[in-house]
Amino acid sequence: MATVPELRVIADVSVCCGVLAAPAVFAQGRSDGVVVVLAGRVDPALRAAVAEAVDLCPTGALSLAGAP
Amino acid sequence: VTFRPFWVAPPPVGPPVRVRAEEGGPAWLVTRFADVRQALSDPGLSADTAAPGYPVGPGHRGASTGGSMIRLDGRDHQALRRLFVGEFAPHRLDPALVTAAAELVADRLAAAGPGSDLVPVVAVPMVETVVAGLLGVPPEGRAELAARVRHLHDVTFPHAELDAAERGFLDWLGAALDAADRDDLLGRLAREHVRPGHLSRADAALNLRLIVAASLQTTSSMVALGLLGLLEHADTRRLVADPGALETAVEEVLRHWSVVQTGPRRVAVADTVVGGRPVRAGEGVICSLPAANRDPDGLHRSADSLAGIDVERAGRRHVAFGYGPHQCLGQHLARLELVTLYRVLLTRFPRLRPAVPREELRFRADADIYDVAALPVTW
Repeated sequence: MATVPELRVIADVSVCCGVLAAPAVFAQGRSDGVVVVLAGRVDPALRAAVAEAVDLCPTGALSLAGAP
Repeated sequence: VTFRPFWVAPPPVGPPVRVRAEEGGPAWLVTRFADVRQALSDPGLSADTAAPGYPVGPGHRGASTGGSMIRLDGRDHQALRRLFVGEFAPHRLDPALVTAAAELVADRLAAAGPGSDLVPVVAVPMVETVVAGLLGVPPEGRAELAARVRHLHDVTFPHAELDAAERGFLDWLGAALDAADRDDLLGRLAREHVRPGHLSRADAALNLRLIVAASLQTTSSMVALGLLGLLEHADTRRLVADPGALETAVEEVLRHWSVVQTGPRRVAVADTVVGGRPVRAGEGVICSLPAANRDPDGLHRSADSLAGIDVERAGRRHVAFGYGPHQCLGQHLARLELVTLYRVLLTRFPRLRPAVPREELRFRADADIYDVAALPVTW
């Protein structure tokens, strides 16, 4: 049986400028607004939303690993 | 050729071209979506208006911008921005404040009656009321606050009085920070950063002034233009019934009007490359957000769809709020204001429409922030 490759989202907080959020996967720190990854492993149902967040992040702070 | 605002002379979308800044030297005009993203992410391009070669425009309103985060680069910019940006995260915004503001201006529109101009009756008081709420100003102080911030957004404000108005507002912000004792934006800024001494009172006031200024003119302009766009191009009953459709439609009017039409601007502090063109240290860069938002390659949409307002093909892949580390800090608040206000207005006035033919509307095509001077509406 083929296994579905696990997709993980990675955040580089050193460049985050604090403007983007995709519910259920990311939050923002209360004081500095810096991205917090709530679920590193991406639920396949949220894949499109997370991919959009990665594309829209204005500082390239987000990336996906394990994408086929 | 001297740079001209997009809505005066829309440039073709293509590789960077040489222009002259209105009051500065040579600059590159950047129009492609990917190039704008690249330029606004390039650490070799500075936002410091005082750096040699900065492509100065004519629209300098108000006196002081030194120490304001919009002019800083790199780590200095990031450290300062992080003192403020958390306050504008989606989960920190107060939908009740924005809904109350929308209901208030809808009441005013009903009282003013059909034929009223939406700009002074709805758009301006909407953004002023939200700013007052952010700054913790009680209802009885809102008229005074509105007078104190008028110079930040009213293009008819007398030029000779600008400096005094600017000083007066910064002093007012400083005094408000001194007195701030609640758990709100000013209270937290004062308690966590100003009183412990890692942010000067003057810099706190200057950056609050920036946030207020940036939230007023852009948003009030978008309130009127965005509504005009929806009334002309969308099924407004569907927008009321479907919150997701309204959010998408708001993204489309943000993209279409791209009201920040004469920047962002940068100056190269090191030799770099933008859109395949060599940009030498000391040369300016002017990004055209409205042009980039019409780039079929960047937005993955046809030129036809991008030329008008197409709520069916809209998405968040646009640069109406800029890009890179300076991307609009208040964008979630702006979206919340537009979505909330349109929902309230289209629910209360289901037959809302412009009261005059399109050709009678006067648009300020040469303003730094594009807008419609007046928008009479009826229902």
